[in-house]
Amino acid sequence: MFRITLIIFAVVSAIAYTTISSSDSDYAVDIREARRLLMASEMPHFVFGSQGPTFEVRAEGAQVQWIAKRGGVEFFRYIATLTELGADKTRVELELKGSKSGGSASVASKLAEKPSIQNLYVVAMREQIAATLERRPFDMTQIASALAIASAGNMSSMRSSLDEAATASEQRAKESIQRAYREEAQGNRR
Amino acid sequence: MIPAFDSIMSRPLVTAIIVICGSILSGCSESKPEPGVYKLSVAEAYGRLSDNTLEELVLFRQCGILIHVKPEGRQGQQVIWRVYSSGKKVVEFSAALTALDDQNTKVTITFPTGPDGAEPYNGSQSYNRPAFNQPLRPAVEEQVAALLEGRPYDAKKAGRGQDNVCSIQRGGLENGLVFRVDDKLGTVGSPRK
Repeated sequence: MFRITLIIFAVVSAIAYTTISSSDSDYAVDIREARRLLMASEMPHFVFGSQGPTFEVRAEGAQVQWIAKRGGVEFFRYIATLTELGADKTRVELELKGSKSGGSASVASKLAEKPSIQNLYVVAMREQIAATLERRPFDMTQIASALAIASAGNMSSMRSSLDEAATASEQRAKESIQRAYREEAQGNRR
Repeated sequence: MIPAFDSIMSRPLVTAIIVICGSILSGCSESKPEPGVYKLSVAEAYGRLSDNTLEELVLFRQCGILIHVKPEGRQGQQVIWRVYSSGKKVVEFSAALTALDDQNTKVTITFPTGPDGAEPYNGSQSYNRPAFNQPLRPAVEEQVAALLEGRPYDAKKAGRGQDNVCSIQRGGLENGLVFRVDDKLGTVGSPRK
């Protein structure tokens, strides 16, 4: 009985682990149309900001991939696998894969260390895909809980950057903000 | 066996109690200022606020977009602050100054309400590119109080921001990302030139 319990627990844990970085949903759209729409889709804007990584979109067989790069180097990629379920019905399975180059400092390692951030990236992209295929605006309420969890996990560092003047991280944060204002003043007048 | 009273009440302890009681009594003899009332003349209060760009409020409360506060003083009785980002006004609020006497001024903070009667950034609003963490009112009140009381802004008095979108974007700004108020939904915006 104990052994069976362990097996069940292991199976559930394995499922839970994989769902952190992947999800799937069905959409009332023809697979060819779904692929066309996803190839033209934008990225979940608020997660990456105005100066986030650039994205390269590729279609490979049944997959659409969005590859995030900075300086020509891949950070991570979203992989959407499309499956035709029938006329005007398509399943989209989404995965997030971090780059493994760099060993323990790789994006894959960093994402694994921050499951709440990884989950937010997946949830946000899943909502972007849904918004695209359902031809509607991005719905922030769909990601509210993932956003709250990710914020909570990172809130202490943000708070300390505000409240503890002596820390190096706060100093870097201030300098980054000040640099943004300087560059704005020197560049386009906003 | 109960120790004698005077052996329990040692001299340092008695001194401490006298000091505490004294401070309590002195506190009772002076009426505490009403919230929003400051020991300044209207002219002095106006002088401190009318050209102030609320830098501490911006530093502690801004989100990911870059914001600029433009103050406008009116006839020595009101100061309006309009907040802009990328040339677009994102929020405004004002302080009305009322002289209670020669040395005391009441300051009332006002936000224009929307069509639904709600204040902007009241803690329940949703913005794609928020300018300030919500709720904004207590943070504005703390900034005004700090300026009129001649002390630094106290983030603890303003209370913690509750807007997760703001916090995420602020985190991005602190790490070199740039957000714009006119970013379109679903886009990453344009690279910084």
